[in-house]
Amino acid sequence: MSVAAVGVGGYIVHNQALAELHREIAAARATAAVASRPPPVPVIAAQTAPALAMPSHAPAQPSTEDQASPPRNPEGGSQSASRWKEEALAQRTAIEAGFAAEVIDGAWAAAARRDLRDRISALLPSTSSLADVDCRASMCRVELVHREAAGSQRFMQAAFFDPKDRVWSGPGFAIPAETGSDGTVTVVLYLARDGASFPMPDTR
Amino acid sequence: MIAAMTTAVAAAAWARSLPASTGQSLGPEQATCFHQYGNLGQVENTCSFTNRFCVPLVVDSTWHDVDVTVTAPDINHNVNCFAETFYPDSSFAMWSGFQAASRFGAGQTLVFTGLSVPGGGYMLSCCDVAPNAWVDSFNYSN
Repeated sequence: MSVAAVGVGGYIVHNQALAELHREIAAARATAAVASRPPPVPVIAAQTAPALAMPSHAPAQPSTEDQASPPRNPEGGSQSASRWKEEALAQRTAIEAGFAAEVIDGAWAAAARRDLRDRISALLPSTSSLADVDCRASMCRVELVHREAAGSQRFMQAAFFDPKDRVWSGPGFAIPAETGSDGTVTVVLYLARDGASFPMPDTR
Repeated sequence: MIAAMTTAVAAAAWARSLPASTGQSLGPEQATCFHQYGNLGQVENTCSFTNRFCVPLVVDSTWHDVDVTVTAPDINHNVNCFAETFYPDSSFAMWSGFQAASRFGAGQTLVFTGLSVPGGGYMLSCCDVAPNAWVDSFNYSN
């Protein structure tokens, strides 16, 4: 746990407090984005996406109807660190807000939630727990708690990249893990349905 | 002439291109399975079991598309690829999901779009390569 000293008035600003502030800003942005949205529209691809089953070995075609290919870096080369951070935060906000705004696809969501819960529970070690699984129309949100970071990495490798144990075959996005005061690591994942893409930030 | 100009513009959109031979097997014990095929940097799995082969993709910006060109001799000897990005602490950030070749006996490009790399993070692309299948090249926007 690192501490940055700011010599203004003798106050010491804790880095974790700053990180928490960033998280609150992102959450506030997500809330504002949801509040200002028109009635939510499912973001699933026009074609029928296959029901969640065993990992598919058929090529997952990117949805060209919903999302254009992301624009290239207009600067054509390296970008500033601050801009890089802003873009990463913008993407996280877009995914969180997009998920919150989705209308639930009842049949798919129920089956996907059940499958994810069963598969993840079977794969998790005893030192980890599945805190939440929530599925909407094109994404599921999964919250996991691990006793330590190494356990989280091992689980991720098995759950998403091991052909034998894979619990999900579509794309995924992980929020930076948060370490609690007791040392446990909380990981939030967003998993996109096969054939669907993640929401993109407006800035792109 | 217009077609050639269009092709040239499309080619310029890809900032980086790597032959598969710049990569390596996931585990050191599998290193002897992958051999360079021909003189164009293609890599073939010469072992009797499927192995994973990965290439680090150097990036210095957020958004990327990745194209992986592979050749699978038949459906029973396929190549299944994905791309993934990491935070600076090497925790997983984003992954594409798997795509397998759907045409056989000739090169096919598997496309992964919209991958984001967190600031200071990095990107990999990997393929599960069946016996006698090979990986040709990796092209990605930057």
